[in-house]
Amino acid sequence: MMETFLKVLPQSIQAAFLVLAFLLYTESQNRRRWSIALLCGVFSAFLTGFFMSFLPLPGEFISSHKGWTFWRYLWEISLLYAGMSMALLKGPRRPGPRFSVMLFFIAGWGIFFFDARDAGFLVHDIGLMNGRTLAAVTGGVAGILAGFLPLLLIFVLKRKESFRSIFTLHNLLVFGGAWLVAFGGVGSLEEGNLMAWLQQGMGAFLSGLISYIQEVLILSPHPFLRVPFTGVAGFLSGERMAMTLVVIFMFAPVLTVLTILFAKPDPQVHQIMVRAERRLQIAFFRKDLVAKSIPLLLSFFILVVMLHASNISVNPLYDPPPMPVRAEGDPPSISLQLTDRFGDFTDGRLRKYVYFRGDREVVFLAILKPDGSVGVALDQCEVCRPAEWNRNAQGYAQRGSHLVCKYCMTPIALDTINNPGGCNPIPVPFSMEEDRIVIELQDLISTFDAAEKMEKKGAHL
Amino acid sequence: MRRCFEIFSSWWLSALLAGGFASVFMVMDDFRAFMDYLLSKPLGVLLYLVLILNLCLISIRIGVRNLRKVLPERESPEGMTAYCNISSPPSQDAILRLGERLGFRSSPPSGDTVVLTRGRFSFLPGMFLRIGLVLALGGLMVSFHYREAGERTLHEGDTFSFRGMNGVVGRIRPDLPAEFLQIGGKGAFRVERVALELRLDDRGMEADNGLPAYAEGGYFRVSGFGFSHELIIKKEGGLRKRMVDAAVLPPGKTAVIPFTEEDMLITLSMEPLKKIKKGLLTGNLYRFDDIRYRMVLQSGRKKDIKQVHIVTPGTPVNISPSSLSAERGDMEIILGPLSYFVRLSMVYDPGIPLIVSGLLMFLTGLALMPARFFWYLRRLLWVKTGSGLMIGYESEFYRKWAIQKFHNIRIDLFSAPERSSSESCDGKAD
Repeated sequence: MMETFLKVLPQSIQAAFLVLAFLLYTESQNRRRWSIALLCGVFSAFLTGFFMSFLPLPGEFISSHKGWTFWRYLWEISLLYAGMSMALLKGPRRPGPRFSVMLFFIAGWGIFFFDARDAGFLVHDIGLMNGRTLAAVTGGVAGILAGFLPLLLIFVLKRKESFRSIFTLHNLLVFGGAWLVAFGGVGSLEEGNLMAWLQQGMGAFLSGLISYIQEVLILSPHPFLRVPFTGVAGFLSGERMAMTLVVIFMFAPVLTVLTILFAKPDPQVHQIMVRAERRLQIAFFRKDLVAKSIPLLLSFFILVVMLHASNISVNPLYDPPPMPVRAEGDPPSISLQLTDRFGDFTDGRLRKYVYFRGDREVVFLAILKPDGSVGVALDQCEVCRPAEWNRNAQGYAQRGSHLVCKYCMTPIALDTINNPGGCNPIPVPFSMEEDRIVIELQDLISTFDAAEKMEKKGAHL
Repeated sequence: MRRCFEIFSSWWLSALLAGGFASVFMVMDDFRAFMDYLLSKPLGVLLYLVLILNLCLISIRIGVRNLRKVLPERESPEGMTAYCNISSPPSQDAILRLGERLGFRSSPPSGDTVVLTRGRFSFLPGMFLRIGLVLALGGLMVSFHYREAGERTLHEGDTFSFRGMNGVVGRIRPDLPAEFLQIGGKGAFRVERVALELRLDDRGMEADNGLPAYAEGGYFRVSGFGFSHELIIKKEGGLRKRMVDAAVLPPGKTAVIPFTEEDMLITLSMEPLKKIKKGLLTGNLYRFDDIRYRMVLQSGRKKDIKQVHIVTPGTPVNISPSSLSAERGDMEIILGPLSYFVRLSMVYDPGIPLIVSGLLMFLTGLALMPARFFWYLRRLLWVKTGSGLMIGYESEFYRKWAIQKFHNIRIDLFSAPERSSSESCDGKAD
């Protein structure tokens, strides 16, 4: 019972805070019907979402997590863009009172439905595993009720003018969308992130579109024949372009509403004869402007954090453990197969090796560069070396098409591997023999010793 | 009718369609399936056509609205960003002079109304963007339904036919470097140009690997290239000849030539002239005017390597029978002189001109778009009323600052630093 209580509690708390924000808005507008519609929506979301997992549902798409993740993302985007659309709508096109009530019901339902479904799924699962479904459900319901306790804050906050004036419909919807992007329901089951999903989708769309157009224009890429506009096509279908478009897409609602807010002119006060009253009016207007921008700036901050998280999830740091190697032959040399049981160098992934020289470990790396040649270097740099207690931060990891110095996080273009200097890894002489990289042991040792000597001189930072 | 036009020329419809298309794509997760759905399934085609119609109507609506704004018509300044009533107006000439000084252009006065505008063509970037998109979308649809495409491997002297045209291949002229130093694995080997002389229905033309050549309604482009040799096999007094296309480029790549009759296969790869050291790296040096191949003979059920030879074109290679199998007698293989083969893409596609012009317009619009930060429509409306003059100012963007700008203009007009009591002004920005 306690397990389900604790599992469900965070889901309902995060929904409760959003419901609280919506209630603050409806109370500030003195629209009791909107508040009731919102709470009815939340309650119906609880009924439908929480108990959904206990019902047999037809169809893989309706009951699969992939399907639910899709609908959840769509809902988050819709909420973000609803705020922008409302801000762009003018005058008579604004929704009427009945439509508004319906919209608040839908908003309330959407705020909690995915969390409730998530909670219901977990409770159902835990109940089945423990064979105590009733206790699990009781714990889950108690968790939801406890999670919604922050809603009681409304009685305190609605009396405070500074809180009442924070939300407009536009910034509320944008804030709601951003909040759900950060804390939304089903994502906690799949550790999903809307931005990562969008970036992958946008990348697939752009690369598909560009290669389709190239094919239609008879300009498909070729391994060695020059094809016009291949560089442009590569740029347009690259990850950076996808990321740029996703950033524009995600930040457009926040920035649009913020721009509209700040584009409001100061109030016309020339008809007021008392100067102090003029200043008071302008001061009140500006204070109000700042208050209303808080949810938008908060949304902006949330989206920036999510963008960073998405970047990391799409492009995580790849830091493989070093594989031990031995020197053989006369003169002794280390031979690395381009294709071995760990895969093929053409996968473009970083490989690390360690040669044990007495009690010292000589760690070096090898990677295939974009021009098709191989780069081999020590897993340390000339410039920075972490202190003894921070030894794990020594060396390099791979992120996308760059190596990254784990100490100073400087990205290093793969083309520049084998070039000495700066934060680049210290190059190790090697030669290619058919499908092998051959490193003379003497070269490896002398390079390593030179790096160690530099360390003793204190040349490192 | 008007309502219908409003719906179909609305940005909301564009946003809805774009959102719908994005959702369909996300569900399908395959671009080709997505395009097939849009261009061949009834609902997809309908939505696609609605999008094209929507973009056309938006362009018409915006174009007409901007043109109308330039012309003086019955319009009250009260609907503008900022306006002012003035009881003692300056002369019309003074207003026009000030307008010209500020970069405004005046339309011919109509009755009591004068309109001064700046940035009247500021709608063009967006127009280019939308028309470009419409042309490209239309072109893609035409291409999908009417495209005929073929690809042939051709050698010098070969004949081919495409859509009733008969062609003869003339010379193949590759722009190969004299030598190539390959460092590491597959190096940055590039062939800049492969020109192919063609005669199409007795009309001479040249195609290459650049932009497609257009002739007789078709597009021709070299989409592949490689080395070709005549392979002569002498065995037990007999002679067999066969043309072999060896895909050995980029250097290091291996071409496989099966010999089903002999139950063996030959692999060919370019043999470097020498290995040289360049800085820290060691690489292979290949010469294209002195080509050598590493020829590997494989036979048996597992295609085991039996013999390895370094061969140059024209030099016979004796295959010792013992290494292959006991039944085989003496065999001699000769690689003939080097020639080339090309892959020629032949396409009939009436959609290509539309797509190309659409993409060019789209890119032009996209390039002009940043100019919209300072290129936007500003209007100064001057209407004589019974009691005096009403002037209004409208700005497409930056309306908050437009109000200040308007008052600056007003002060310039009347050379009065303070508003007189006979003026009543207002402004709005949203």
